[in-house]
Amino acid sequence: MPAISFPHRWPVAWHMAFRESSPWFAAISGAALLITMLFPDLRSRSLELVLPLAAGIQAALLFSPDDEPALETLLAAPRPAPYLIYERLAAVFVIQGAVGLAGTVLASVMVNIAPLTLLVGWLPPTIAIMGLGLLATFVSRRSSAGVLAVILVTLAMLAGADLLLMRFPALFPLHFFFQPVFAQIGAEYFGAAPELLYAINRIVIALLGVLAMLRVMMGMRNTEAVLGANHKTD
Amino acid sequence: MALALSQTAAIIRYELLMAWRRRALLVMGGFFLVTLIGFTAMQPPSQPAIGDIVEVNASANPPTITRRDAATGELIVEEATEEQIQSVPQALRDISLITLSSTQMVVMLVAIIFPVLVAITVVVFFAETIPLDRQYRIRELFNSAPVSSLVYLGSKLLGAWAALAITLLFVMIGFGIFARITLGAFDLTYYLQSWLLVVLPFSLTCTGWSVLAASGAGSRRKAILIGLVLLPGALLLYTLISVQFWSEVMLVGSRITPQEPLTLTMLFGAAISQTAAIQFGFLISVGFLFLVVWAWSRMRA
Repeated sequence: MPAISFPHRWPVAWHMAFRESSPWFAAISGAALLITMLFPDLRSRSLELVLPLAAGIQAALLFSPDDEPALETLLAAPRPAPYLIYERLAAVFVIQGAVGLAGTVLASVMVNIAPLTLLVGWLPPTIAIMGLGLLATFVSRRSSAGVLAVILVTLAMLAGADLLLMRFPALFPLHFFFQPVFAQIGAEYFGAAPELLYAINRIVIALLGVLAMLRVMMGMRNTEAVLGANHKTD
Repeated sequence: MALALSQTAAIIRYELLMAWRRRALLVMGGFFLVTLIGFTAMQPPSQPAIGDIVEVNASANPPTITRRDAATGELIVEEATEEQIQSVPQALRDISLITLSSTQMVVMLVAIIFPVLVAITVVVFFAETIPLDRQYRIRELFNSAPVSSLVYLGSKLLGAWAALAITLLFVMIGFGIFARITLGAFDLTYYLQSWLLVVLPFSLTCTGWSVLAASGAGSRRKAILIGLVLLPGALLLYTLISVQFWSEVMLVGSRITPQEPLTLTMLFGAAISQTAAIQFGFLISVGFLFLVVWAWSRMRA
């Protein structure tokens, strides 16, 4: 009988992953959510205002090669190095996802919007900004660069992306906080169904985040680069 | 005293060298410059004129008028008739509308838009200045060396300030060249004043808060989190100075009379000087914070 070989299943260090992903961020995003929900004008958008930023900062602080203690040991261990990213990202998803789901239910009751609509509003930008924060920290080797990238991109998208769309409507798939009302306007411009435009936008930005995360996981395989062999370090 | 000064100079020098090697200055300066250029590029093109008149030089002998040719956009200077002079309000005579408009644009971009980028960037970026030494166990070396905590703390702060000032200098020159090419001639005095009296003290204050408040953190990550906590304070300071600047400029509007010539001093002089006065007041807060952190570090030693 031929032997069937399964890929080796490595243990996941959940306890450490949760510790490294600063779980108290859940309290901050939860409190920020409640505060924004106090304002009736912000209630319907509170989830997409708070969660991407909080999860993005948390992701930017997840793995900075220059600040990782005993990185050489971790990379020399038989367990593949990308596991560090898998488990920490999963911890952030669990932490912020729990806050997000609770917030979705609460907001859905408060503003009378379907929970799925709210979920589609905050989940793709959260994935995109998490990917961006993780990648910026990994490439620059500094958490501060990742945190700054997250803050600046989030603020730029919130403050300026609508204006940019007015000049360059074709950039709509890259707007992190694209609203269904813009899809209605875009439908007249592009001659396509608003639902289609909205779906394209959500898929593209979620994919951007996933691609950024995959880039980091692929980069983790190059141990020399992770150790900073080609970098001028501090 | 001489030893303390040479130690200070050496720490500042190596702080700058480290910032340069880590490409921190290059990245920060590049980001500032690209963002400012982006903001300028996003502004709708303007061709300020009253009808086709761009400038009436009524005090010249003979009086001249500068017109923009509607077909080619070329500026034509010719002798002014009395009728042409009278068609322009007295307040707008003897001032180039192009210079007025482009100066207003660069001053607003530098004094109102740019500080928000600085506020967000520097409080996070410079927070790790001192904790980095602790993370890499350099502090033990420092503690064994004859470097006082006053010299160490002061030099670190001055090093961060020097790095920031150099970055801002390059951004000021780079953006000045870009603005001159794209917006046309602008008044250099007010451009320099907005950098030196509005942006620089604001940046120094935010950097000072960040370096000193995060000095007790044991790692980079904790320092960044302290920087994030400081961010609302920096944004509040930004709001204060931008409101102050903008309200002063707006107040000028109520003072303009058709008989009085409009000058750039009238438009921006009070706004820049009032904002600068508030800025320097806040810069003193860095001094107080320095004393508190220094006293605390001495107690802890």
